[in-house]
Order: sequence, then structure tokens, then C-alpha cells
Amino acid sequence: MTEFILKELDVADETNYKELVPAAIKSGKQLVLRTPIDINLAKELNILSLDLGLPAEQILIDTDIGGLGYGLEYGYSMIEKVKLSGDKYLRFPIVSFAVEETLKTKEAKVDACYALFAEIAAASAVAAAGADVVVMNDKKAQEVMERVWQS
Amino acid sequence: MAELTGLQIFQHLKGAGHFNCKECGCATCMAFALKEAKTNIEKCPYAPDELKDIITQNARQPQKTLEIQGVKIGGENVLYRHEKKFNNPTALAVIVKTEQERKRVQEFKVKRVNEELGVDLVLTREEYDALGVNKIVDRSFKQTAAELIRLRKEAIEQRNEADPVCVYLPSAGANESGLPELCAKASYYICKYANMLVFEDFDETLLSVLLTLRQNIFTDPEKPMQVDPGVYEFNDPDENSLVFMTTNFALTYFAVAGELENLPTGSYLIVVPSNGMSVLTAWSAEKFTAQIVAKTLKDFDFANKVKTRKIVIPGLLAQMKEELEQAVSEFEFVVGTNEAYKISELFG
Repeated sequence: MTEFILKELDVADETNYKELVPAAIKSGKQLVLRTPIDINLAKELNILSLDLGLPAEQILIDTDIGGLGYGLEYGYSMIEKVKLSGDKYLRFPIVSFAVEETLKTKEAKVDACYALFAEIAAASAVAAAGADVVVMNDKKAQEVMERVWQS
Repeated sequence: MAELTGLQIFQHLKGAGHFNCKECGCATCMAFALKEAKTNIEKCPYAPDELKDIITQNARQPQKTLEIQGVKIGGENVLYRHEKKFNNPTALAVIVKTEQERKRVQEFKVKRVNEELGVDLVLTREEYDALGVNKIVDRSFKQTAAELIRLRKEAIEQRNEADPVCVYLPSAGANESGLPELCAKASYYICKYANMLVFEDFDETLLSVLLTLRQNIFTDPEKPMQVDPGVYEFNDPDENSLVFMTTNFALTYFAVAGELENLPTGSYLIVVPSNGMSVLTAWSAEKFTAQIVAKTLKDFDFANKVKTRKIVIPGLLAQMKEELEQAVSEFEFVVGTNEAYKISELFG
């Protein structure tokens, strides 16, 4: 069941995981492990982080994505592939920041109405692909998603 | 039902009693089994009925393709776009009651990445009622979603020309969250197996968003999207503004365009025709060469359009700087960033 959340998450990638993973181990907080839409790099970063001692329960994987209208489909298919994979190093909840990426697009920046619909559409799409956690931006949008998903 | 291999077909033919008779036009049963049997089993007068049944069944499409007022729907045969591709984008239809409504819906058009998009079908209630499709009336999201998934899986398993599936979306009413909720549902249904959506409500911004999503989901994963070559302008550049250059692969263009949008100054982006390939791919396939760049700049008469005499090239093509300067005398080529997202650091 997809969760639509508003909270801030710590995000690590291959450039900073060596600092952020030990910090997450200490804090006990969830850590997003982000890689650039590549299934092998996703596995690799997960393995490296687990090797550094990061507890599996703290891991959320983000295979990254473009905004709505800007190559969303690449990230969308990557989520589906990860979900289908069955590989033990990919068996972590998937988090998506499709909303954040979509709100950076030109169309979303110039039109608040477009931005709201686009936020919802992007969230819905990645949830459809199998994202377990979708980070939202607007409280109203987040409530819409929760209401619809329960209806 | 599993696909038969040529070898398996041969095993069936071997026991049919007229081994290598050549009546099918092939020299041997093996040749026929490998080359022709799957599509022309009837050429063999002695093929067992059991074999003919399996082949006929395998030739059936999981889902029918229907044409409604010129719009094709259905014909889908995969669960995931990356398995092959989705064949016919979810048709978006709006039911109208008055001529005024009809006109408003028909006039709505948006242009996105070289395509002009709009509502596919404008229907009267009677025309909708007369459609021969599998209709789901959307009441509960969970139920509609589950039904769409069930029907697509069933169509693929049974390979029995299933009807395309249409979801009817009742009016969202005057409630302020009506259209946002409709957006959430319609977006999901576009991704997950609705061949057609029928709306009672119409909102231009909502439809723009849904058409954009649909365009993304239904692109052929094997054919990367391209943008038109040309000179693109960002933030009102003047004759002294920065000039960037890249390939016409849509993702590359979007990545760079997004950065240039956010620069505090105006700029130009010269998009070079490169078969829709990314920067390194185009370079190694010789679809982005000094000659092609020189020709492109000449075709656009770019040297006469600006006073700027420097063009920023992708950092990944640093090795091309000299040959570019030899091929193009009017400009100096500056090596830019390797990644688009670093553009604002360097130039912002």
C-alpha cells in the first residue's frame, strides 16, 4: 500500500554515502540511497551501504526520475524493473521524488493549477509503477492521494 | 499457452506420416517447421489437428484493436512497457451535452515534444452508450484499479482477442477536490491498463497534464524521443548572450533546457540533428561530428544572428574542441560541464 508523505528524508548517493551512512547508523533514521536510473548502480550502492553496517530496515531506494513531461518514463520503468527483479539486494522499499522533479519543470513553475495536477499525476504514476513511498509537496495534494488510494 | 519452437513443431510433423513429402513447397519438414509453420500451417495437408489448434491459438492477439471514429484503441499484449511497448495510447474521450461544450473541447490543443495533442473523442451520451467496449464505471478506485489489472492479466494469459477496456469517470461535481481526485485516478488508469477513459468533466489544465503523462508512458522504449533541431531561446537572450550546443535526444535536451531556464541570464541552445542519440552515443556513432556542426550552424545562419563568438559544448566532447574550431571558423568552442546539472554552478 503506497504511502504519500510530506516529511524530509536524508538522501545519499555515491558521492557522499561514506559520510551519510555512518551518520544514519548513529541516528537510526531512514536513509535514501539514490542512483541515476541504473539497476546495477542501485544494487552496488545498496551493497556498499550494507557493508558499512547500515541496517536493512533503514534503507529506502531511489532510482531517480525525470519530472512529468521530461522523461518520467525512464524512472517509471526502472521502478517496475526493480519491483520485478527479486534480487535480494533490491528488496527494499522504493521511494520516489517524482513530485519534486515535476515541480522544477517550466510548466509547473509558471502555473499553480498545472503544478497541482502535475504533482498528483506524477505521484499517481510512480505509485502505479510500484513506489512504496511517494514524497509529496503540497498538503492538499497529499490528502487527495491518501483519500483516493483508500477509496 | 506457451509458444511452440520450430523444433517442437517439427516433432509434431515427424509423426504425421508424410515425412519430407515437399507438398508444402519446402524441401524438408524441418525447413517448413522452422520457416513457415507458425504463420502458414495450412500449407501442410498432413499437419495434425492438435498442432493446428495450438498454432491458431498462438496467433490470436491477447486484445482486439478497435477503431472508434478513426481512433485506435486496444491491441495491447504486455503488462510492462519495458517488455516491448504499449501499442495504442489510452484514448481520452469527453461526453458533451451542448454545441458550446463540443466546441470548447474540440478547440483544446497542446503542443508537447513535436506532437499536437488534444481530446481524442468528443461523444454524445448516446454515442458512448453505443460503444462496444468492456465498460467499467468508476466508483471505487481500489475496485477499478484491481479490475483493470485483472482484465489485462487475463487477456495476456488467454490470448483470446479480449475486448479493450474503457473506464467511465462520473462527474466529480462542484467539490473543490473533485478534479484533483479525478486527476489521481485518471493518471493511475492511464498507466495501468485502461484503453480508454471517458470523462463527464472537462478542464484544459487537467487534460494537459494527463496528455503529458500519457505521452511519457506510451513512448516506445526502443525509440528514444527526439526534439526538432533548431536554435532554442531561454530567458530572452540578446545578441551577446551565452550559446550552448547539444544533441537532439529528448532527455539530453530537457536536462540542458531545464538548467538554462534557471540561469539568471538569457541564452541560446543550438540543438544539432543527431538521430536522437545522447551526446556520447552520437559522437561514437559519428552522428555528431565537426562537419555536422558546421553544416548545422550554416543552415541556421547562426553567425549572423548573434555577436557572441563562443559556443559551449558538452564537457564529454572536450576532445572535439580543436576539430570543431577547424571546421567552424567563426566560433571558438568552450568546453562546458560533463553533467547538465552542473551548468548553473559554472554559468549561473
